Amino acid sequence: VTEESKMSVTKTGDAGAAAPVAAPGAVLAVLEAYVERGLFRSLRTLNASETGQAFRFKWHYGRDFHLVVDRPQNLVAFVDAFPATKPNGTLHREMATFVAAMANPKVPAHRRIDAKRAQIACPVSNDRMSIAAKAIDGSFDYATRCLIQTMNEIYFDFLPNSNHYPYQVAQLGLDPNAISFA
Amino acid sequence: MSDAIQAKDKKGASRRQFVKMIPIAGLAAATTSKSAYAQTANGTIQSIRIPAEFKKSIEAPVRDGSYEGRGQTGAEVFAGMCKAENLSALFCCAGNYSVINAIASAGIPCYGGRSEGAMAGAADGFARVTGEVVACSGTEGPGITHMIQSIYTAAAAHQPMLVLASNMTIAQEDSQSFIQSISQQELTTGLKKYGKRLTVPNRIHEYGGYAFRALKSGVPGPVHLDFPGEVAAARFTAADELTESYDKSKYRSESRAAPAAAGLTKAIELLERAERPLIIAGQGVFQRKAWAPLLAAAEKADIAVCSSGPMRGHFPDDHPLSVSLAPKAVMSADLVLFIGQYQMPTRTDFTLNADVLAIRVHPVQEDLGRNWPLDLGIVSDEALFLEALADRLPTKRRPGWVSEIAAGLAANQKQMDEYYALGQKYGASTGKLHPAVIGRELYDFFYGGAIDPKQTVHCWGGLTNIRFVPPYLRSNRAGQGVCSYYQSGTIGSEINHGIGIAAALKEGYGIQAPYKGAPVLAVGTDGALAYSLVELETAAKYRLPLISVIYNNDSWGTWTTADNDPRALHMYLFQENLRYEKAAEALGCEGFYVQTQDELRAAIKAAYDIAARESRPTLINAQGLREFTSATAYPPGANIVNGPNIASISH
Repeated sequence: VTEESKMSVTKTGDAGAAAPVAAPGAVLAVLEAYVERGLFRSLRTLNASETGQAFRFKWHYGRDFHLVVDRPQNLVAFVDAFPATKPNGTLHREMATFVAAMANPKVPAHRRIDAKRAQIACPVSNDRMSIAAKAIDGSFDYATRCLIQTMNEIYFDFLPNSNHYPYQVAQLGLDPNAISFA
Repeated sequence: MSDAIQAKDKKGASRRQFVKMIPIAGLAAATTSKSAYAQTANGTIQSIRIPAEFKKSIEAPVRDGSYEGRGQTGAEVFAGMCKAENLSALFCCAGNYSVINAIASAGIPCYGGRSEGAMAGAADGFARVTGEVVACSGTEGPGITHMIQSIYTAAAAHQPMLVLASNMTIAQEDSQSFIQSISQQELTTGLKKYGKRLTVPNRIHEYGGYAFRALKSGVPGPVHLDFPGEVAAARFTAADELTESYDKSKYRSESRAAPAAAGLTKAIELLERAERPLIIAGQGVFQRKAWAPLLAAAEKADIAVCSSGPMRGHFPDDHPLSVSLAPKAVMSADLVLFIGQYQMPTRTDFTLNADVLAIRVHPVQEDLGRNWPLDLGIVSDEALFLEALADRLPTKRRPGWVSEIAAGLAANQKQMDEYYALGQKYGASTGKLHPAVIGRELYDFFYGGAIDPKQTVHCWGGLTNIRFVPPYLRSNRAGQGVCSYYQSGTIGSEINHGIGIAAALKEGYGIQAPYKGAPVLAVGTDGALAYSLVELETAAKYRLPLISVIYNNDSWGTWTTADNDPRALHMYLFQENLRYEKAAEALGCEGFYVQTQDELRAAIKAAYDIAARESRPTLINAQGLREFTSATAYPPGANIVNGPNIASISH
């Protein structure tokens, strides 16, 4: 696990009463654009604070994804995206390797995450793994896009090609009767 | 064990010796045409043989459709119409007698089998590798109900399949006079493009026109006609007794929608601007036989192509711009052009990146914008669009994109090599065949060896072998590959499809003409045989060059879903080490049971020789291990592959 993956993630929102989308900002603009492109649905802003904001929307497997913005730490994160994950366990280690590789110079430039602008990590807390992006240059737009790209590749590349099918069924709600990962 | 099998085992000695004899036995069969069951056990068991009348029947003269003399029945009028429409073939079970007999007498190739469901599946397979309209037929209640699964499978794959089934007479309705009567059209609701119960005898030609208009226009799909006895048996002495008895050039049109100039210009602008454009070429490209302009457009501007849909090969897998085996490159595309994509994926069905722009070309306006928000929608026939695109698209080289595609292919090959090495390791420790080894052996023989890699048509099914076998089954020309489970997941469809495909290859029908007589490969799993095994008798009777390779893992592959429910596991288990190949032998096929890579290699060679030299079917029973499915016991275990990909089974 890299030093970056030890970044802490602060929950700033409350998953209570959902409200219609109203919050402005770079992150919201990115999310709304993806709603328009059919990637997400049911986007909701959750309780906002001076230091952060939380969003919820449906994406892969029809699951709810909770995206949290932590302004003081320049972090945007999918919080608790992978339950039942042991720190330094197989899933955590493989995931850390996968996300770290996204900044590898061998990755084509259009897919590569610029480590000078954003760093991706997968911290585990209370056996729940988050995927977090730190906006090194302060650009939440870039960090959010990198985070979404990373999660997309986790679902499209990492998980299908991993040995974690039982985990996907048990923890992520993958329907074993389904013939696709939709 | 039957007497016959005992007799054979006595002659063939032990099981171990039998396995060792595979290459020799196969070659012997190839050179002497002597079936394993050509010998009698003790003089009391007769050999399996095809009756002499069978060949005479196949070669009997065609009856011309004339109104002179006795006139024509309704069934004969319809058969004449099928002949005029070049109906490619009929697959049926006995029943619907007047209609199937009339179609056979009209000279349309007909195949009679053992169950309506399997034969409808064979019709589906025939259509998938020819792109032509095909028919299936069954009798009343029990026949049409048995066909439903295959109609559903064909509907999910948008096949131009004409479903024919007789009802009893209208006069018998509601009388409980005989229980085979059923109201059919409701049964196929949701599965057909058009359907009609014919009730007025002299409208038979008119409704035949409805049927063929639907079968040969727009997006294909099954059409269902049922013939009460009064319609099939009605007799006509002149064509003018029928309503709308026009030539096909009058009751339907070959006119197709061409792309509007503005839409085409905009599409070219978007393609020009894109750095990594991708065409996802769906079933419509195959149905419209548009592979040549697709290839021309792709090569002109270095556009990546991935074929999708139930049929593959309309863009060759071995082309350097093909990304069917380069999923990492697919994820880099910045513009996707869907064409002929009859079943649209959602944004999470296809492994494209979040920012990709989308164009869709489709012949039906109402479907544009479905599931996937579009940057541009174009109503057009697939062939006309691709011809215009290939003509007007400026030449452009994209070396970076071509290089990334090559890297994606290399990365995928590396992963397949790793799976293969794992499969060999697991095989060595268990004495069983891992599906990755089966896939590699099939590739080495049919697509990577001495045989023309464009020759062997294949179909495949199974959920436990998806990540290991289908990536090795290559489609390097149109109509070379069939995903039997496409959109339906119909277990058992693969062998039934294989029967129809082998019929198409044996006759060299349509686009398969250059490969007439070539062996066909059907790859499936033991679960499939419940739905298809006995139909191998039909393959043997018609001497179809079909090689069925069954991955036998003694279970339903989904047994892992019972991991946490111990009392449920028994429902997923079969008896172990079942000898399906012996059942196939008992039906007139050749059979091989294999447990090691060497045995499998020898069996494939022997089966090919039997198919190529004698045009006879073979079943290879490849013994695997249930636990290979488990990602924890034998990683990576079974998993589904997202599309678009050579191994995807949806969209």
